[in-house]
Amino acid sequence: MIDERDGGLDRRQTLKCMLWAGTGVVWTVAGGVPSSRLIGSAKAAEGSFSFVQISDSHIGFEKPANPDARATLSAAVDKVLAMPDKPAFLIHTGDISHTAKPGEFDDALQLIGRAKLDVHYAPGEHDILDPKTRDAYLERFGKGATGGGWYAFDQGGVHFVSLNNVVDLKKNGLGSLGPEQLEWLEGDLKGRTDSTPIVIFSHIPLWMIAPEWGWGTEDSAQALGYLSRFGSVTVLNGHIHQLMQKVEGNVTFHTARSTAFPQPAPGTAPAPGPKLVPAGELRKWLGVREVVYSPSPATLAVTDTDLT
Amino acid sequence: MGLLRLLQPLSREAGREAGLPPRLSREREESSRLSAKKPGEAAGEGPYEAFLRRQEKYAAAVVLACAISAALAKTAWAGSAGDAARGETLYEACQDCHSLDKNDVGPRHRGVFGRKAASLPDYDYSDALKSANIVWNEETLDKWLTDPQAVAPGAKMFFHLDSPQDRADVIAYLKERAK
Repeated sequence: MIDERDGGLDRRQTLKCMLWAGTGVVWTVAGGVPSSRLIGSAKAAEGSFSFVQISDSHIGFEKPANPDARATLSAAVDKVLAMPDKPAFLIHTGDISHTAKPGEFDDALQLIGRAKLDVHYAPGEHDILDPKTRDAYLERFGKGATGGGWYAFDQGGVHFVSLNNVVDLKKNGLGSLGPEQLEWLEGDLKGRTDSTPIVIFSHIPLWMIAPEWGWGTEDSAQALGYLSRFGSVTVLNGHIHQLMQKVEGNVTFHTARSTAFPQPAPGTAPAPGPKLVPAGELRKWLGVREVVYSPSPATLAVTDTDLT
Repeated sequence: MGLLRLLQPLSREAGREAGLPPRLSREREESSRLSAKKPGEAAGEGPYEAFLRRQEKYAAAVVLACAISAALAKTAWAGSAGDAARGETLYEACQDCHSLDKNDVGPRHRGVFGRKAASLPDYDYSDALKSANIVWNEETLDKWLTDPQAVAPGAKMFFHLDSPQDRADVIAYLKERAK
């Protein structure tokens, strides 16, 4: 965002990133220095709106790490329904299904439909396994999207971009965007003012979290290059089933919890994959995310809530 | 490549109780046969005979060295023998894509040890794996779990285990408990 109130920084694009924890602590990062303060609520200001991110619902997964992924997605939707301020829409950052079966998608959409919100999807690698399931995914979710399933829309002065980085996986399963999508992104951003808040969402993180586990996108640097002139860029991803944040210049990155099962943190296990947690604790590891946009000054406040 | 050829039979033997002794016995026999020729040839030998004797000694030394190397190789493999119980725990990570009894993102695993790759009729394998012509045993599974894309470029799987012990444990689980 552009914050002209900060003395000495008024001619610079200064990032102000607010991470609102579920307990009501606001983390403000201005000029790279974090500070915190308590808040009462994410009360909507004039012109503000909120949206919800859910991710990695893996409908069809029924193994020890979570024998009933439908029930936990349903619990996530209950959290959305309980939000005091109705979100404007919902985004799902992929792995809607576990094995890309039509019935799994049917169940997921029926459960998510209880929220009665518009839903914008980005595919995960569990949703597109091969050319056949890619075509089926695009048939179901790709209406209005560009050929490969990427698209953009605007809401309340914020420009949203949904990317597909799961089709042509690279070494260790790293995501990739590919030249066609990158060209489209460059064109989509061209002509937008630097002060337009941008929200980018995709399944695999757009920053290199753990390349040895495929937790990154091989050609994301090019995409981030197109975004570097914008004052406020928020990047939302799933895939790694845990919360991580990173601030890099004017870009804030947030990975989301799954609604199905947790995964280990990089370096704590031999490999990624479903993590078995003690009985009764599963829902502490799962969650939903609310993002509140306030236009003056332009801020995006991120609140993560577990499913307990 | 030669080392690979040497290690492959030893690796197979490592999973069985029989293992190395028959091979060592054959090598000892060969060594004894070479040694037994020496006394008869020692008296009145010319330069050519001396050359032959040196060659025999050299051959005997090579055979002995090979036997020692083979024994060491066997010891090294035995040291990374799999722990099926630990492998079962590690297998939780594999369950992102696999089950024992149901095809998932990947094919079901029960009976995979000893099975020809890409041979389940009800799973849609990649062309890469279909043409790989692999039978799953300790060596092929170890290579596959090290880097599946190196074994069959274009295969669906990217998951890998960097630790040889982790791989051995998962393989032991698949071999012993996923029959």
